[in-house]
Amino acid sequence: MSEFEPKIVAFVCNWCTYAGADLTGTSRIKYATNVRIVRFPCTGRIDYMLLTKAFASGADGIIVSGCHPNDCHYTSGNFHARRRWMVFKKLCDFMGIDTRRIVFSWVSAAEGVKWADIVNTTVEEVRKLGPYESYHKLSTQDILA
Amino acid sequence: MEDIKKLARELLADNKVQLVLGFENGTANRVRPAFFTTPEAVDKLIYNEFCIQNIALYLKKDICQHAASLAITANPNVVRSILQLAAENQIKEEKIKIIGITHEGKCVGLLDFKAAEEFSKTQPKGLKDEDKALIEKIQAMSLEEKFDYWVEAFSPCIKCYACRASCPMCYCGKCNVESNNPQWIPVAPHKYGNMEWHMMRAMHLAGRCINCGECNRSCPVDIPLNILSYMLSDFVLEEFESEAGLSAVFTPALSSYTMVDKENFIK
Repeated sequence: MSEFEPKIVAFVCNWCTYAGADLTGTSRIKYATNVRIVRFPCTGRIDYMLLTKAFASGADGIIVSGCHPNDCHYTSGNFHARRRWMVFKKLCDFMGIDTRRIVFSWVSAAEGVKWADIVNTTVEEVRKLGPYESYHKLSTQDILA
Repeated sequence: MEDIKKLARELLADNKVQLVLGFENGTANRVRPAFFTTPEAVDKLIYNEFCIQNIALYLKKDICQHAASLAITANPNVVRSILQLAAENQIKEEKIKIIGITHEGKCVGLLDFKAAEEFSKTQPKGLKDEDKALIEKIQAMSLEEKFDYWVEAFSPCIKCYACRASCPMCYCGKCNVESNNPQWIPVAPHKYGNMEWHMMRAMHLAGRCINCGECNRSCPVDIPLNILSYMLSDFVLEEFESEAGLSAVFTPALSSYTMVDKENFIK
């Protein structure tokens, strides 16, 4: 049997982390290929339901990343997002959804190295945790089960 | 009860309000919410220990929206709901007369928003001890146990949406759960759809819920929904020092932010 390769979904903002990830590429920095990047206008746009959708679709880990505080293209999107993440994390912890698999980060357009580092460490951590099945199983279960 | 009736009658007789929202006797020894539009009709108005439903819910219904002015028999939960609705620009102070009633059923007279805020602060609130014990029990569980607990707790859910229908804060014209392109939440009463529905409701009420417990009371299969909202309210109070239902001028925690919000969990 082949070794477990974690599937990571990254929800990133257009203005900082997406550009940062671009920089990682143009700087020819090698990093794990397990990540699927989804680009959003702003971290404030990243609905928590998208995170659960990712888990339901079989993601083993999630990265949510955007501009550093005070750097938001829309002034306050990341501040609103920060609060929402806190509450969402609390809810997940209470409901038994594995928040060790959700990584929140600030990566600016100049931090190509940081992006590679975040992805690599997340992949390693999720690899150690193994596949995330409990939430995915819910969505694939027979309707009458 | 007589002083509540007298107040309601006077308000209608003096044309101060068009409508009084309260309770009347229903069938089979039950009470039900009712609208009174004439002073004579107020004879039927009652208030007793069974009148616990949060009737602030009806303030967003057409009949109340179309009334130029109205009065409402309001226990502390209703008062808090009204204040929160006002904070969210859903009701104006000029339009509503609040007949304040304590948890014990004592009428405290008409309350303007300022008095309602005082009233709201002084009236006891919070969860029953058994619900608090349940929260502690769940918090002590392991991750898998918690997840299994909730999957199991939500499994009898038949998606009747009584929790939404009974909640004064669930007033959106179109709910996310009805969105079908894209479909956010599967509509079948399936374990996955149930989980996402209740998660979404808890998140949308975080920092706005006034903890009346109506969702729990109305649930036909007794899912302890109120503890989800309560746990989040508690967290919001602790983290952001923000509490819904205490003031008519208030920005819910998730609609605002500060520069110094915690970010020790962000890399």
